[in-house]
Amino acid sequence: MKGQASLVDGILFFLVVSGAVALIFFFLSSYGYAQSEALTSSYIVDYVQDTIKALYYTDVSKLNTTTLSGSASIMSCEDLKAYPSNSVAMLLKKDISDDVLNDTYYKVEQPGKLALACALSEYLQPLVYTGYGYYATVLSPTDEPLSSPYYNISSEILSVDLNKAAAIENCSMPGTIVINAPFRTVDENMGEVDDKLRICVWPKS
Amino acid sequence: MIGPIGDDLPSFFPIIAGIILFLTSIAFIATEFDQRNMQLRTQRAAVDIAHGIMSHGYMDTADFQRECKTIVVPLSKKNNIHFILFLVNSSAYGEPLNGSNAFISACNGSIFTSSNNSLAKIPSSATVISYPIAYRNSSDVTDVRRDTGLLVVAVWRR
Repeated sequence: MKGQASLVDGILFFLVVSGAVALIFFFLSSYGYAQSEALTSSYIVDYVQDTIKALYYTDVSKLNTTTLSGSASIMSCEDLKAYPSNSVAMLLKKDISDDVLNDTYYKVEQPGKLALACALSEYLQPLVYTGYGYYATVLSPTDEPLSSPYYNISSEILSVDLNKAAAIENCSMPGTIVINAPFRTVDENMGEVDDKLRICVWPKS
Repeated sequence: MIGPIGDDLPSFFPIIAGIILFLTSIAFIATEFDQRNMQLRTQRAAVDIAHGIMSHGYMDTADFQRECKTIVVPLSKKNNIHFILFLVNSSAYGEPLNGSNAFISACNGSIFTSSNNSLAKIPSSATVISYPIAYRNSSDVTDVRRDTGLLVVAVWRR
């Protein structure tokens, strides 16, 4: 009887140890996941911020071989060949001086929107290939999106699913990371306007 | 019936098995924790290196080599890591870099080279990240326009 009792004690000890080991393995399976997610999220923010910085230096005529995706694919980046020595930011500032993102400043052609679409298509391709979508727009000082007719600056075609299109335009897709960059422009009266360039990036599942 | 030791003898086996299981698991878990922490530290080091060299959104190839020597090499020594940086044209994304015209410049801390032979030295365990940057090839005096580039950072433990 005594031998049986001590055997049960031994088996109980083994079961307690097994339970403890299982708990540690359970904890281990999720260890580092949150940190890795935080690093990925911070990397995407850095990546998009660096893209915005690069827009101030990139010569638009160098974007002439870029292929556009999403709603902007009806346009061609080849047209930018005619604008050497202009940076993307410079053309974009000229374009939105009339508060409309439409490739013209009043009636003068200023393809700032096209330059932005081509530059983002080129720079953000690593994010798109790894399963992210993007949508870009310019916000007025009151945080209202500027009117942007004809096509959208996005990796997606927005006319297919209207609910999804609204979610993308409002940056409310699940897991969306919103990056706002100050973007100072000059209006028709030569007054400074504090617009913002907003880029939303979300994981496509 | 068969004496005190004989009575307790059957319980020794599950107790010893439990102790062995526990110690083996602790050893395995310690190694696993260490590896994951190391991986996170390597990722962090790659981001630090990229931040160090990309203070603004533009770089020419001469700046690239100079900043690699003055900023990245001390950072890599501090973090005890090996690294290779590539400056490539963004048109190269998704394509093999070996022999590609998109290759602009490389730097690996010890041998400053403008060839793409450094690719062979990157182990498969390396953390590789890329950042967008506008660049100008300072060796091309006929074209002063700034092109679209990617700074590729590959980092691994010594």
